[in-house]
Amino acid sequence: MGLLSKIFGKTPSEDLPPFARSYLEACRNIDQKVPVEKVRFVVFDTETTSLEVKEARLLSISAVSCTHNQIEVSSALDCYVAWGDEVRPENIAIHGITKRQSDTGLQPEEVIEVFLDYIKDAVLVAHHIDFDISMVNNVLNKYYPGLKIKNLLLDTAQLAIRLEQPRMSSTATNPKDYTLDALMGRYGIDPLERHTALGDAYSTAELLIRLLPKLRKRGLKRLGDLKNS
Amino acid sequence: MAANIIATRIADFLKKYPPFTSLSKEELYHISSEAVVCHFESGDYVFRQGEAGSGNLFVVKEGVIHLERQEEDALVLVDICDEGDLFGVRAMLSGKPYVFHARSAEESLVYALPVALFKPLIESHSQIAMFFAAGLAGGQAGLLDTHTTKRFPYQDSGSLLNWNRPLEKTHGELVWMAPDKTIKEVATVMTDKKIGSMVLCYANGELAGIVTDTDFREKVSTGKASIDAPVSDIMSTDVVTMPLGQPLSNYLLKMLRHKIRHICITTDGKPIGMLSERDLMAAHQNHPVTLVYAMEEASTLKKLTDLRNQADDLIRFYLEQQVSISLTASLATHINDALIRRVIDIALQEVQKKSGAPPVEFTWISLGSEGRSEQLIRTDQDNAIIYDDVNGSTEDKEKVKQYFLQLGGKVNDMLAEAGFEYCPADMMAGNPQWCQPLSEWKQYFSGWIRQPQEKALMLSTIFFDYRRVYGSESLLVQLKDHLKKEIRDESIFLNFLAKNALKNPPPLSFFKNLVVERSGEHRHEFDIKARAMMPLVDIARVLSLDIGQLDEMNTVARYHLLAREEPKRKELYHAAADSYEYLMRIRALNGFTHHDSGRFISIENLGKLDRQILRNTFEPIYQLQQMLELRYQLSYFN
Repeated sequence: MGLLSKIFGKTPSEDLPPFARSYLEACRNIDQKVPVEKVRFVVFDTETTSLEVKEARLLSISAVSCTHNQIEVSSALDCYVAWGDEVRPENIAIHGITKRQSDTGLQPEEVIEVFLDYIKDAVLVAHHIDFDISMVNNVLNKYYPGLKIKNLLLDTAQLAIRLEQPRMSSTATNPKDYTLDALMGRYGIDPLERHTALGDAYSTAELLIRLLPKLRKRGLKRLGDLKNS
Repeated sequence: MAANIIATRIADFLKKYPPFTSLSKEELYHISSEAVVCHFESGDYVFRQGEAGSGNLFVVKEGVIHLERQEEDALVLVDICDEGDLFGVRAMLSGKPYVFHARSAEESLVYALPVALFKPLIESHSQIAMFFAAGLAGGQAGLLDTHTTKRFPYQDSGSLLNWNRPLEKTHGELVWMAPDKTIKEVATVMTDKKIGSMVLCYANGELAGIVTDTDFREKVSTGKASIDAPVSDIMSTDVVTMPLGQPLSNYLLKMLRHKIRHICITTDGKPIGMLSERDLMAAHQNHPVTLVYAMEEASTLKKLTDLRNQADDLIRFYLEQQVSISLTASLATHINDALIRRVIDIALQEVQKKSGAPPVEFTWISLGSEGRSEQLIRTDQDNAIIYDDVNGSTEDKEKVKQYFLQLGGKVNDMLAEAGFEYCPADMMAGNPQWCQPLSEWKQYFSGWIRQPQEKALMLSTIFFDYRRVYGSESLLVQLKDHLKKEIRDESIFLNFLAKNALKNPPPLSFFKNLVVERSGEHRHEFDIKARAMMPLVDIARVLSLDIGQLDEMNTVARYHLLAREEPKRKELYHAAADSYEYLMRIRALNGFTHHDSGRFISIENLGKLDRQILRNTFEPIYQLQQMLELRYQLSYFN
């Protein structure tokens, strides 16, 4: 499995709203030959009510946008989803999100619009990205059936494993060594504010800009190379 | 939405290090929320020597950055910046290319902070201005480092720092076309008008979009669009617009953030003009040469005064920008001289209407700090008139005297109106005592030298620092030769003058604390003039008179010439010159901040670092004072 996987969905129906159509249009024209220095990355993190994709509900989504070596603080995106009904109490212990905060968030449709407008055709990056993408896709599918994330995806956990243990298959590594906390410790990243989506997104971005130069030393030059590294 | 915690953390980090220590929490957060976090591998360049300024200031978060200057045959390490150190300041303030490389010596994380946010802070926070003025950021020439022989001369300034000023109008009229015109039509008009972009508006005046050279290059020359297609096919519709009236820094910041060079200025959603990065820079242009020319042309005192007020901004900018203080002082002198000359011209015209042309040659001289070309801020006027001797009756002599007194008085009044206050001790050309023929001046000088009582010594310290601003050079040369001869004949005078130079109160207490005034209006303030500057000025004068050096009155120049004359004390003299430059800068900035002479510095408002530097400037003073004691055997002298 490559580090990046493109998830193909059904052909989008013409009745999608304009923002979704222009998002899909942007992703359709991704040029794999773009040098890595020109690539825009969006590092994001989600907060959910559970770690089981099937039963989890998206509480908030946060992101920062960066290039191979720069993170723009002003680009930070931090939005809460206002579900309008009950929020399960068990997540409060982990995330500190109260009902009130959730109420002041955006409607799910608005969150989708804001997020897609924000990411455009960027490479999406997250730590254990499969989970976060599934969460986002669930919400997309619920409101706009058939709509899915089409960006190139990059998982910082996989990236670190490939860099540190190039010959080992990912199943042979100890997952505990590749949690975000463990990697932050190893790469000397100051914890910002763990267990908030924005805090984790930023820490993941810091991890990314530390890992990418190491990848470039191994010959990473163009966007397309990310798939095969 | 909660505050951006990334920015909060960066603010927490920054506030530990000067000059950020002096900012409020909100200001820090504001700066931090616009930061860009940059990562560099060992050996990567943050910027290279000669590159244009990036519009950012840099603070090291982690790692080490080396500042290196590429010389013809070698790479010189200028400075090492580690955690919390600030660099890239020089290019930020001057708008000039970087004067050295910034290279990552190990894996580093650096915060890039937009200059546009910083400029207003420099205006409102004297601490920040001082920080830069004192050269405390990485790679700014070490003012007190006597080993730093190379200076970075900045010959002229780019722009004036007034980024808080609101934008009042756009430059020129808006050129626009309808979006249904063909690409060819639009391109033709753009070529004719030599513009790089065209605003497209609907018939009702509302903004439709914009096309730029880039669109033509990317969408037309590549064949994607036909030149006969409507321009709306290639225009971009997400035009960055802003209303009039925002502080200039906001426009610059917007340009930086969107990486664009033009902003469409709108009123009620309708475009009224384009603002380019160049307009923004030009809005600050204020060249000293232009200013001097304008003064020479000015026909009214009002106009002159306005120009002189503008010059204050320029001088302040030079100070903050780390332009060498000698250059800044010479600029200020140049401007003051231009003003005084113009004032004399105007006054002379008025006097001539009534009393005809000047009966004999005369010279207008500036005295004291103006005479030494050291006035950065407008202080009291000290001036005098020397006119040629008159052969004739007492009545004739009196008539001539009255002529120049009238002229002197007029000029004094006009200068006062232009912001140069009257001298409280009345050392002005309008005072009969200081408006005298050459022979009388020679007698004054001889008298002071031969009978050096307290009053005579005091007058010597003012009148021996004289400089011609207007009129005959030959009168001045004659007076100078006389002075030289008198001092040679009466060298004991120098011992008195040296004794007088050591009269100033000491700057540091026994415990090496700065000595503040104990009573009066300036209680708890440090008298930078009496305790630190006057000793340096007075010592330079004694030593220069001693070697017969009467051509340069400027204190810094005097020390440099002394260093040439006496190479074994070269280091001490250069250190004294550097100290004096630093003190001038501090005093002037303090004066600008408080709208006074800047003489009294509130120690509490000085950061620890500034206090430290101030203390260091006293070292050469102590050494010079000891030297004077020995050389003029002052312990035997009462």
